[in-house]
Amino acid sequence: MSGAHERRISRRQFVKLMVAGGSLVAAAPAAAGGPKPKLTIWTQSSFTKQADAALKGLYESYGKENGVDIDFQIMAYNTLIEKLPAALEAGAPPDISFLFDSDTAYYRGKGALMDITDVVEPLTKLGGGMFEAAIMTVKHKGKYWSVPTVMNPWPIHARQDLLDAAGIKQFPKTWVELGEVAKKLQKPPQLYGYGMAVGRSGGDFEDNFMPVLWEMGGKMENEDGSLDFKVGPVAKTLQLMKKWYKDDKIIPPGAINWDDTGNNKAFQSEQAVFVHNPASVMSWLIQEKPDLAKRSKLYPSPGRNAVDSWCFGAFKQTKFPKEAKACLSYTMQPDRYASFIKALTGRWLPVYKDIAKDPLWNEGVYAEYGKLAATGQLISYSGPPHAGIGEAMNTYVLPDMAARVLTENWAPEKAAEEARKKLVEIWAKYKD
Amino acid sequence: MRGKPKFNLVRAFLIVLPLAVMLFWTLGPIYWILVTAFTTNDKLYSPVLNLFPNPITLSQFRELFWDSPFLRQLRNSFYVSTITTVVSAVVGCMAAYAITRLRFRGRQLIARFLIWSYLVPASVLFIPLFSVVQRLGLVGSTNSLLLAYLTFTVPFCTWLLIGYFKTLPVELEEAAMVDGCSHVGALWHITLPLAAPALVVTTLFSFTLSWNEFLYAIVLVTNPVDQTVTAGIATFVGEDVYFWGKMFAGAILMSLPPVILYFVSQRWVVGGLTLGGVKA
Repeated sequence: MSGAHERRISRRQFVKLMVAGGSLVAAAPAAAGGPKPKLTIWTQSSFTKQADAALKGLYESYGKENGVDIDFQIMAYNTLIEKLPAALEAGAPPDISFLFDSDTAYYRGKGALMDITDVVEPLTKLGGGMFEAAIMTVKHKGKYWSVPTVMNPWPIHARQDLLDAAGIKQFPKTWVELGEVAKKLQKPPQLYGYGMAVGRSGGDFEDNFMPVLWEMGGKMENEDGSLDFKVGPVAKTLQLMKKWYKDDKIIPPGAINWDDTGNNKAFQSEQAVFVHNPASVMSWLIQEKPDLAKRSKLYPSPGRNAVDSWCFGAFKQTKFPKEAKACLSYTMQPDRYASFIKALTGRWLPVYKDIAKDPLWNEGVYAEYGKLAATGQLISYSGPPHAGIGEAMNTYVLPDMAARVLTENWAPEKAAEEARKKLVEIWAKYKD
Repeated sequence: MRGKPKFNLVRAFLIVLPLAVMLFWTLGPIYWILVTAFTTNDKLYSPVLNLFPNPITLSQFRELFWDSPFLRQLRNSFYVSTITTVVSAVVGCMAAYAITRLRFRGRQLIARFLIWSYLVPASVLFIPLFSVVQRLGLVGSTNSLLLAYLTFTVPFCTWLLIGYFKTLPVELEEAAMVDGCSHVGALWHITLPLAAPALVVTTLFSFTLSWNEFLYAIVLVTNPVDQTVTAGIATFVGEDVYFWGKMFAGAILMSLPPVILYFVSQRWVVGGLTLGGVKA
C-alpha cells in the first residue's frame, strides 16, 4: 500500500480560481477609494523636528481649509531615493514628492512630472523674486516642472582655530591654494587636510568635483543644456585630485569608500581641516558639539560656489491634479513658507530673496553662507539641468571616473575620455 | 587507568588562536554597538577612539523611547512577525504534507516553484509586489508587510518541511488510516508530533526572517507609527547625518527577542540544522 491518493484539479477550475483572484485584486482600489480628494506627499526628514512639523502643518492646514485629506509622509533621504523610483515603476507614485538636485530634470525627462507652470510662474514674482539657480532648476523651455522649495549651497567648513594658529588670515582663493593650506595644516593620520568626497557618495562627489573643474576651465553643460565636459579640463581636475590623494595625501585614504555621510563624520570627528558640504555639518555641530562649532567657520568655496535647489513636484499620475497644484501654491505663499524655512534655523536658505534678507542668514555663523544663494551656480553650469544629468548621477559616472584614476591608476585623460563617452550616450537618450 | 592528558602547547595554540580570532570577529561589532549606544553624541564623534563609554549615558535610550515611535514599531514588528510565522507554519505544513503524501499532477513542479520563488531576490520582487499591494489598497499599512513576508516565508517553511516529512516513515500514517484516520487526522495526530523539532526550527527561522526584513519594510510602509523596527531605525538620519547612538540603542533592543527565542529553543535549532538531510 502506497498511501498515495489522486487529487486533481481541472484546468477549468484552475482558470476560474485565477480569474476570481484577479478580480479581487482589480476591485480592491475601487472599494478602498472615497469621494473626498486625498493627496499623498512624500518628503525627506529635515535636520530639525520643528521644521518637519512646520512643513507638515503647512500641508495639513491646506487640507483642512480645502476639504482635502493629506497623507504627509516624512522619511529618511535614503528611503526616499529608493522608494520613489520603485513607486513610479509600479505606477503608484505619491501625488507630490520632494525632489533633490537634478531629480526635476530626470523625472521630467522620463515624462513623470506634471507641468505646473500656472502655479510656479506667479510664485517666482512673489517675495522679491526667486533666486536664479532655483528657477533654473525647475524651468525648461519656458515651462515649470516643480516648485523650488529650498536653496542648498555648498560652503567650505573650515577649522578656524587651526587657520588662526597657523597665522593664515586670508582664506584660499583657489582650489590649488586650498590644497597647499590643507597640506600645511594636516597631521595625518589623526587629521587630514581636505575631507573630499571622492567615492560614490550620493551627490557629494559631483558637488565637490564641479567647482574644481570650473577652476580648471571646464563645465558640465553648455548654455543650451548640451554636454560640454571637455576632456582637457576634466583630466586636469583629476590630475589635481590625484596629487591630493596620492602625493600630498590630504584626502583621507578611506574617502574612496565614503557614503553621503563620510565627509560629515570626518569633520565632526575633528579628522579634517576642510570639508565641502551643505551646512548640515555646521547644524549638527551647533546642536551636538557646540565647542567645535565655535572653532569652525563657513566660507564660500574658492572660485565659484556650488548651489542646489531642492523642490516639490507633482506627478502626472495623480488623481487630483487640481488639488495638487492648489496645495503647492498654498504652501509656497511667502508668508506661510517663511514659518517653515525659519524653523530650519538657518540650515537651508529660502528661495525667496526677501526672506533671505532675514538676520538668520546674514548674521552669526550663517553670515557668509547666506550670500551663496545669489552667487552660487548649479553643477549643470552653464546650462539648466539636462534630463541626463540625473541619470549620470544615479549611475555614478563621475565618481567611477575618479576611482579609475585614484585606485586603478588610469591616466586622467583615459578616465575622462571614458566618462565623456558614457555621458554622450546618456545625453543621447533624452530629447531634451 | 588513563593518566591526565598532557598539555600540548602547539595543539592549544592551533585551537585557541583561531577561536580567539573568530570570537573577536563575531563579538567585536556587538561590543561596538553596545559602546555606541551608551555614549553621548559628542563623544561618538571624538577624534580619539573610545573603547569604553565615558561617561555612560542612557540618553540614547531615553530619546528612543520618548522622542520616537520606537515602542509602537516594536509592537508592529511583533504583530507582523508573529502572524507571518503562524500563517506560514500552518500553510507550510499543509503544503509540505500534500506534496510529500498526495499524488496529483504538477506536484513536483509546485515543489520546484516553491524553491525558485524563495530564491528570487527581494530586490527583484519588490517593484511588482509594490504594485500588487498598491492595487489592494494596502500601501502604507502594516498589513501590507504580512502579504509581502508570506511570499518568502511560506515557500521557505514548505521547502524545509518537505525535506523533513520525507524522512518520516509513511507506514505510521497508513496504520492510522487503517484505524479510520483521515489525511487531516493523520497529519494532526501522527505527522505533526513527529515533526515537532522541524516545526520549531521553521517557525523560528520564519520569525527571524520577518523580524529582520528591511527592504519591503521601508518600501511598503512610510508612516513611522506604522513601520516595523528595522525601518524605524533607518529613520534616525537627518539629511546626511546619522544618529548612531539612537540607531544602535534601537538595534540592541530589537535584537533581544530573536536572541531570547534562539536561547530558549537552541537544542531544536541545532537538531534542525540537519533538517531534510536524510533521504527517505
